[in-house]
Amino acid sequence: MNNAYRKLMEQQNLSEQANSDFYEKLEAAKPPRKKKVILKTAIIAACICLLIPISALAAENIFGISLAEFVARNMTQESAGEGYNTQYTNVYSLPLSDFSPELQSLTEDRSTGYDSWEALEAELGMDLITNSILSDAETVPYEQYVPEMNPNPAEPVLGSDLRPCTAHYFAKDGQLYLALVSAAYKRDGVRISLSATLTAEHPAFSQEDVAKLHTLEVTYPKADVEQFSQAQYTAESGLTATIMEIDRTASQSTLYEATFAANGASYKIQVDAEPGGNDAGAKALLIEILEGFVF
Amino acid sequence: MEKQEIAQLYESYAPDVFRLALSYLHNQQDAEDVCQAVFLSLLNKNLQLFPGKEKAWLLTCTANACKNHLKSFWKRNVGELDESLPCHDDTDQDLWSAITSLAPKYRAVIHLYYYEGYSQEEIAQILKLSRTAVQTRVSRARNQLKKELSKYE
Repeated sequence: MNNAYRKLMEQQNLSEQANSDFYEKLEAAKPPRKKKVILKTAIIAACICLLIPISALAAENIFGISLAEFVARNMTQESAGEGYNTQYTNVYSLPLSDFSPELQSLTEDRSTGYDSWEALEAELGMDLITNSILSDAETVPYEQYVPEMNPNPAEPVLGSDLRPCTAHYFAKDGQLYLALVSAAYKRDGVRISLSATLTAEHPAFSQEDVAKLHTLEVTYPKADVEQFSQAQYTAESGLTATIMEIDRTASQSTLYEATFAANGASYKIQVDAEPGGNDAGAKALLIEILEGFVF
Repeated sequence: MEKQEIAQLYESYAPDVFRLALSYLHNQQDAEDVCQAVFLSLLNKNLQLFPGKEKAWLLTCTANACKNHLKSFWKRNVGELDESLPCHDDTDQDLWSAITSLAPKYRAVIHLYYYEGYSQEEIAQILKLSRTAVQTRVSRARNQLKKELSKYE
């Protein structure tokens, strides 16, 4: 079989015609032009130049934000709806000793509800802000849901708790680093929500991390936003706040939000007239609250 | 690669390339076309073939070109002319008929093993197969050939 096959194949040869065709084609063929090679090289180089910053951006910050964050922000603006992003420059971490002894010994995340702002401040161990409008008789505490979050087994579950004030405390490596507190009120048919973000000094968080913890990224669904505007407001006290005005389609009402930073903490106030309520009155109330703050 | 180098390679290896293509395609014209295409493709590639490995590289290219040819739309949809090889005697014609009854994947290993004299390891490298796969194919092809050839006895 071996020899027979070899003998058979040795009889098979390219025809004379095929050989001459090949040499003709080889003679006529043009080697790739240098220009083409240069063009190819240029295209590859351009692709590499484009890929390097993209991958670097994806891996981590090149322009201060990661690609994922960049895309998320632009996506929210383009497709998800209107929103804003607030980054404060005047926020900082408070010494852990400024917080109450209970919070200084906090080792894990905890959520708690309070009946009053004063009770919340007492557990926090510090006075945050004073505002006569929020404490006068016409301003009624408005109960809000206190979500369950890693409740301390020693305390009752707060999942179904309704309280006007809430606090979420976060710990890392057995030490408090973040407190998110809020309070809700009603006044003249307008809902008022006040929330504050406080950070405690923690070895795991740099100043940059702290700034990120205070960063607010808010987006409202496109379907529910008729109009969105943003403006700066400076109160008599020198407090400068950013005010967002969001005209909502579904509830046919306008939501006003003010954000500002004071004494290292960042604050957000939402004022929202009840459906069919007085939007202009809501905005006037927000301005009144901003003017009423004493730090 | 320069035209002169390609012409030299053609002088040395065109018959081997052509015969492998023929064993795959069983058609003189197709095998000649594939052979030309393999050598002309060198012109467009800035290749530096390892000295002593030129033949193996050309055979790998040929095997790939033949597989592509067999898979091509034209090949699958157009009927073939029955083309017998110019054989000197009936025994050769019987052997060729037995070979043509094999599937292309068996023809290639038989050709490289019996004609080119490559080891199974070398065939595995040329056809990008595992050594076991080559061993299996050689064994199956041999059994099938035995069966086919016994018909002519």
